Amino acid sequence: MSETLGSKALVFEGVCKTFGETVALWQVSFALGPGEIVALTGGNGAGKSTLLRVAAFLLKPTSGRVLVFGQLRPTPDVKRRIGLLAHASFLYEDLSAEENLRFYAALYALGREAEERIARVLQEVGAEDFRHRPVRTLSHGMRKRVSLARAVLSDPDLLLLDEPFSGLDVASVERTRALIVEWRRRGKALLVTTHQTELLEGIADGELVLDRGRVRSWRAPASCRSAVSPPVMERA
Amino acid sequence: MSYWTTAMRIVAKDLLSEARTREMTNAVLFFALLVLVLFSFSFQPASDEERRLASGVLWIAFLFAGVSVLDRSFLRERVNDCLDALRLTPASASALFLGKCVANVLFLLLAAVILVPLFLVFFDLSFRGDVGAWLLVLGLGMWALVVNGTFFAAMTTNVRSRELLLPLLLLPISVPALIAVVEATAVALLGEGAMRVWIQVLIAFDAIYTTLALLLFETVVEGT
Repeated sequence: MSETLGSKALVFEGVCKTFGETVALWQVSFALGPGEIVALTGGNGAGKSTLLRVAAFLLKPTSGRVLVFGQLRPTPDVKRRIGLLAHASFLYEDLSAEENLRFYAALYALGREAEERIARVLQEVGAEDFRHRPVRTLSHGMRKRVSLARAVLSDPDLLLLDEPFSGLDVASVERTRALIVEWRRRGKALLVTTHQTELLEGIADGELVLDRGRVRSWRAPASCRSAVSPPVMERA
Repeated sequence: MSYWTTAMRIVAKDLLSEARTREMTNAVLFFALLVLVLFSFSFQPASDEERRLASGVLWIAFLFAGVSVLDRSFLRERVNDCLDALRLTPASASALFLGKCVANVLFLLLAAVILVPLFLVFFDLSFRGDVGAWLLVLGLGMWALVVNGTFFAAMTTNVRSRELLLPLLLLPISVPALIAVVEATAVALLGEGAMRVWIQVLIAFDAIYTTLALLLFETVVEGT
């Protein structure tokens, strides 16, 4: 592996993912460095969520390579550095927001700093007021905020955010957008999918557009311009 | 975080969820009690042969309870894709499995605390053999059911016909353990015969399948 690729937060090299006959991703290559935001866009069924799941090691690519901080395998150290906000909330319905975070904090071995970290992330995402309410009583937007808190609980260096703005009110959208900028400032690498592309305008350093699993276009962030050049599909 | 701490966190989480919903407890007790009541109407053990039969009835009730517990065991992790969230954490997959097993055994032992006295009353029975040894059999037998059942429950969690598949996979593989627990319970009820050999069978069964399940669980979870 070249030193250039090893220093990246996330590298996809010719990644294909198929489910039987269905092609979810085809020859996807791109890279993302620390302190950068890449917007991942495309229509429904373009493969955005699959790409995030592959990046988080939840799905194995059918072919190609995925490197996270230079690692091909999800070692415990690498897992600690990945935060995923998925479509599903990843929250237990019968536990409160705080109990959910406490449970995950234990699995991430946060130890003594767990309580402080939980308080901080709840405050960051604006979920303090309903921290004691069972998840099943929360609205979609509230769940989204708690899910975001869960995703950043372990202070990961690579954040994979699947539609972080969907279902949020205007104030929460602004808060989330500001958080994304703040996380980039702290040196985190962010891969963010959204249908509301205007929300990432002016803050995204690069953009990857998918169309039926193939790269439609790729605007690389500054640090990755020579790292990998993906095959870009011809416009029909 | 240590392996055991991870496992115990899973246990605590499952117990807390169950304490709030009681969905598993209610289902388990309903099915198991139904079995005991129905059988108590059909026969009352008077002879030694019938007392042997009664030991089978008790374990049929436990089996119903077990399948019901195990079937729901990974449903909690399936809702909101929590199993994926567990896979994202650096926690060891086998520690997660162990935690699930311990929680399931605790649910079954809780059911046993209620069912065994009712069984003795309904069938007008008492233990003539070594009760302490039988309690060991009870624990080992529950573990035998749970270790394979939890493994298969994880395997079938995303399968549409999992309610059908789970007993189909679990029951044949559990036959040696079921024979051992039924025979050992008969010995405890009759006060005749040796329980030691059945305890040895159960220890061997538990050791083999626990080791296999702990080794293979990560592969199963990765494939879900």
